[in-house]
Amino acid sequence: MTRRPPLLEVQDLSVRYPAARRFPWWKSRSNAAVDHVSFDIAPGETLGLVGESGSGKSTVGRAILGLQRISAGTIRCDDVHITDAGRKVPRSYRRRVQAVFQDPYGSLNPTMIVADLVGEPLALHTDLPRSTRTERVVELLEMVGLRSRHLSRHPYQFSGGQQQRIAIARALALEPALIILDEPVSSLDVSIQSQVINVLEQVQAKTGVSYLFIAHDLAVVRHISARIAVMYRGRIVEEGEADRVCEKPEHPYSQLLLSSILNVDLRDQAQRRAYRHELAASFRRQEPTVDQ
Amino acid sequence: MTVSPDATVPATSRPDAGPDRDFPGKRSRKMLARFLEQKSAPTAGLFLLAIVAVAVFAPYLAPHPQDAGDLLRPSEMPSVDHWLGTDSLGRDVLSRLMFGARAALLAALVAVSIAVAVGLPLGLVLGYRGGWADRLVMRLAEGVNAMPFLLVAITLIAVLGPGLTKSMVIVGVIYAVMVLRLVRGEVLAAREELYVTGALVVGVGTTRLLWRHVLPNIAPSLIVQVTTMFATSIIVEATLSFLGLGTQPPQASWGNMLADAQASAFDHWFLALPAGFAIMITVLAFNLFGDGLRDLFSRESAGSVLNANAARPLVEGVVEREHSAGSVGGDGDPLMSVRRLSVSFPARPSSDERIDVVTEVSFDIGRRRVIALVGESGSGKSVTAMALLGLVPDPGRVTAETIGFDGRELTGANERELRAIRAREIGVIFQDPLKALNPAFTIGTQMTESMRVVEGMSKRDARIRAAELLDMVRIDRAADRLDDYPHQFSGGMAQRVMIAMALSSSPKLLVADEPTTALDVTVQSDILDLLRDLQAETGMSMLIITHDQGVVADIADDLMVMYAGELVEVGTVEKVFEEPRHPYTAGLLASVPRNRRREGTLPSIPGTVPALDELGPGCRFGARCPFVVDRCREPVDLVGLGDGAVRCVRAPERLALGDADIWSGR
Ligand SMILES: Nc1ncnc2c1ncn2[C@@H]1O[C@H](COP(=O)(O)OP(=O)(O)OP(=O)(O)O)[C@@H](O)[C@H]1O
Ligand code: SF4
Ligand SMILES: [Mg+2]
Repeated sequence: MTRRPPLLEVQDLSVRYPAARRFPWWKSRSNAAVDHVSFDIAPGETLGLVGESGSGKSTVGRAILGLQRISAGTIRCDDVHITDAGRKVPRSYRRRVQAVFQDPYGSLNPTMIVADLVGEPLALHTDLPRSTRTERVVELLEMVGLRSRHLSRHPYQFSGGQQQRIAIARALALEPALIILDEPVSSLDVSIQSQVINVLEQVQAKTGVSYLFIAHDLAVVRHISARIAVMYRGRIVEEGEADRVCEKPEHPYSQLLLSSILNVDLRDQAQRRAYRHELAASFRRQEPTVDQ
Repeated sequence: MTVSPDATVPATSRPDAGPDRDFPGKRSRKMLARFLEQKSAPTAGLFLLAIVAVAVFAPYLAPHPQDAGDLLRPSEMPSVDHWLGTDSLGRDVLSRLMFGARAALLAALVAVSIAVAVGLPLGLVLGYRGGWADRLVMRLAEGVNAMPFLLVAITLIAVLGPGLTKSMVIVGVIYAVMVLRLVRGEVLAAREELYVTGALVVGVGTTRLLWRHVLPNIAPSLIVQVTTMFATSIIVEATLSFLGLGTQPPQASWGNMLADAQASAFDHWFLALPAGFAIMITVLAFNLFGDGLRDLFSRESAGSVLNANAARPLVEGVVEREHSAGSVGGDGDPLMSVRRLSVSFPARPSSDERIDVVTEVSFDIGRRRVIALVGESGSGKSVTAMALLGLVPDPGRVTAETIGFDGRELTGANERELRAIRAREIGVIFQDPLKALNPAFTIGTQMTESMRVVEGMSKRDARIRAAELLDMVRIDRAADRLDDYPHQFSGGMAQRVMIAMALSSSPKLLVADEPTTALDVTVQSDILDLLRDLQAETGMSMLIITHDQGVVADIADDLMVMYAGELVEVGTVEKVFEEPRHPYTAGLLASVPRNRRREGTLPSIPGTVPALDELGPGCRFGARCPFVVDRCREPVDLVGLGDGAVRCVRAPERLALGDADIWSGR
C-alpha cells in the first residue's frame, strides 16, 4: 500500500519540562516528557498513539496544537511549520488543526449555548453572515447526530456522549485537515463510547480529515487507526500497521500492554492472564520500575 | 415517551432517542423560579428595592426637609406630625432617615462601582497574563489587605480631609483591591479549565477569551462578593459619618444621626433607634440577598457524609410481590442479603419532591463470592454501595425491607453500630486512591491511626502491623515506605495502600467502587491480580463496582446489571456472558471493543440513559431497546430465570439478543 505524502510531519520532537530545583543554586535540569519523537500522518489517515499515563502522549498532542513549548525538533502541517518555541501559532494553522479532549463537559464553556459553541470558530475565522453560519452549525450538528432543536441549550443539559459530539462538531466547524483526539472516549460509558467512535469514523469518511487518536485502550485504538505508535517514557518504542502491532507486537512494553487488555471472553481471559504474568515478570527484570 | 426504535436511520447516527436531561426552557427563568423557592432572599430583595425607591424619591416622599427643624420642638417622641419624633435641633427624624438612606446607598454605589470598574479589568488581565506586573500588584494588594481596612480608610481621610465622596472613593479603591484578588484568583483557576484551552485551539483572542469565556464563569462569585460589599459599604459610611469624616451635617446620614443620638442619649433615648434599626435591617437584607444568590449559583447542595443516612426499615411490612433476588452461587446462607433497597434524593435542592435514584434493588452476596455491579454512569451503582454501608449523604433517604449482614439486620441500625461494622467487618476502597489519602500525613500515620483508635494498639505494634499489611499488598521495602507521603506513591501503589487499609481489620466483605478505573491498563491488571489473590487467601466476599466488562470477566463470579436505578439482570458471570437474557446486557457486551481486526462500525446501544425524573411506568430501557413491543409499556418485574433473574417481558422468548447486526444498526 503506497501512502500519500504526509499531511503532518513531526520530526525529532522533544519537549522538556524544567525539573523542580530544591535550592536556587542547584544547576537547573529538565526532564524530557517527549524525547526525539518522529512520525507522520497522511491525509485522511488515523494514527493511534498509545501508552501509559505520563508517557508523553498528551504532550505530543499539545505540542502539535501549539499549546506547548517545543525544546527541539520540527512540526509541519501542510505548509506551516511550528518550530519556533513559544512563538504565536499563525492563524492559518489554527484553522487547519483542531482538537477534542477527554473531558467533554470541561472543554465546553458552561455559560455558552450550543449555537455559539459550534459557531464561534466560524465567527472568528470567516465572515459568513449570521444566517449562513447558523445553517452551517445545524449541518455540523446533524453530522454528529444532534438536532437543530439543541441549538439554544447549555452544555449541562446534555449527557457526556452528547457533549462529546458537540465538541466534535465544534472541532469540525472550520473543516480542519487534522484533529487531535486526546482520549476522546475514555470518560464515556461503553455503550456511548462506540457511538462516538462511529460518529468519528463517519465524519472522516465524509470529510477526509486526519486524526491523531491518543488513548490508552489498545482495542479501541486498533479499531479506528490504520497505524499505531506505542509510546513509553517519552519515546515511541514501536510503530506499525494497527493489526500487526496488536497481533505481533515487538517491543516488550507493547507486549505487556497488549496482554493487559482485559477480555470479555472468559476462557481467553484466564489464558491471557497466565501469559501476562510471564511477560510482566520478564519485563520487570529488565525495567525495574514498571509500576510508577 | 416514544417506545419505537427509529428504524430508518442507522443506529449509530440516530439522534439520541432518549428523553433529554432538560427542556429548552430558559435557564434564567428556571433560576428565577429556584430563587423564589427560597423564602428569605426574595423578601430581602423586595425590601432592598423599597429602600432604593425611598432613597431615590426622598425629596418627594419626606414629609419635612432634612436640614430645617423647629428649634422650639426639639427631642420629641413620635407624634402624628413627626412619626418618628424630632432630633435635638427639632428636625423630623423620619425625613432625615429617608435622606440618610440616600446618603448610604449613594456612598455604597460609589464605592462598589469604583471597586468593580478598577478591580475587575485589572484582575482579569493580571490573572490571565501573570508575570512581573502580577507579582508587583499582588505584593501591593497583600500589603493593603494586611492592614485593618477601616484604619487605612480613616488614615487616608485624615490626610485628604473629610467628605463623603472623597471617603467613599478611598473605600472604593480599597474594595477594588479585594475585587482584584477575587477575580485574579478565579481567573487563575479558570485558566486551567479545558474550555479555555479549547478556545485557544479555535483561535480565540485574549480580549474575547477574557470577556466572553472567562468572565461569565466567574460572574456568580463576583456578584455575591459585590452584594456583601454593598452591605459593608453601608456600615463603613455610617461609621465614617458617625466619626464626622463622612457625610457632613446638616446633610442627613444614618451615621451622623447616630452621633446626634449619642450626644443626647441621656435625655432622649429614642433617637438612637430609627437610625440603628435602619442600618441593621439594610445590612441584614443585603447579606440575606447575597446568601440567596450564593445558594442559587452553587449547583449542587453539598451533602456531607457526617450526616450520613442509614437505611430505614420499609414500614409496609407485607411483601406484596415475591422479590426475586440475585441469589446465585456461594455455599450456604448468603453473607449479605438485600431486599427492596431504595434511595431517593430531592428532585431539586430544597424541594419536597423526591426522585428514586435506586429503585427496589434486591440481591444476595454469597460467602466467598466476588459479585460485580455494572451499569452506565449515573445508574445508581455507587449510591447502592453507599446505602449498604449507611453512607448515603444527607438529603438522600434510604429504605429497605431488609439488609441482612452475617445474621444481623442493618436497617434501623444506629450510626454507632454501623460505624463499628464498617470499622471491623466491611472494608471499602474507592476509585481515586490519591484523593482518598490525606496529602499532609505519611502513609504510616494514616494506616496506623485506625488501628490505634479502634483496636487500641500501641504505636509500635501498629507500625509493625502496617508494614505487614503493605507487605501483603506486595509493596517492596514496606517498613521504609511507611514514612513516605502520598505524593511519593504512584496511582497503582496508592491503590495498594488503600487496599491494605481496607483489609487491616480482616473484613468479611470488601466493597470496591471502580478500584481500577483511574489506573493504567497494565497497573489495572496488577491490582486485579492482587485483589483476586487476597480474596482467595482470606475467603472474604467482594462487591466490585465497575463499568468495564473486562474487569467483570477477570475477577467476578456473579454479576448484577443496573440500568436507570433498577437491577435488570442478575446471574453468574459465566451464564450472563455466555447468554445474556436482557437486551441491555446484550447490547453492553456487544459494544465492548475487542482486540480484533475491524469489521465495519462498532456495535453500540442507540440513544442515551433516560433522566430519572422523566421515567414512564414501563420498561426503563424501552426507548433504546431494539426488541420493544407494546407489552413493554406496562411495569416490568424482575423475574427469576434459571439461577439468575431478568427484568424483561420477552426474556422467556429466548431472542437472539447478542446478534452484532442488531447493535450495529444493520
Ligand atoms: N448527593 C446526591 N444528591 C443528589 N443526587 C445524587 C447524589 N448522589 C448521587 N445522586 C444521584 O443518584 C444517581 C446515581 O448516582 P451514582 O453515583 O450511584 O451513579 P453510578 O452508577 O455510581 O455512576 P458512575 O459510574 O458515574 O460512578 C445519579 O442520578 C446521581 O445524580
Ligand atoms: S421489556 Fe425487554 S423487550 Fe421490552 S423494552 Fe424492556 S428490555 Fe426491551
Ligand atoms: Mg460511581
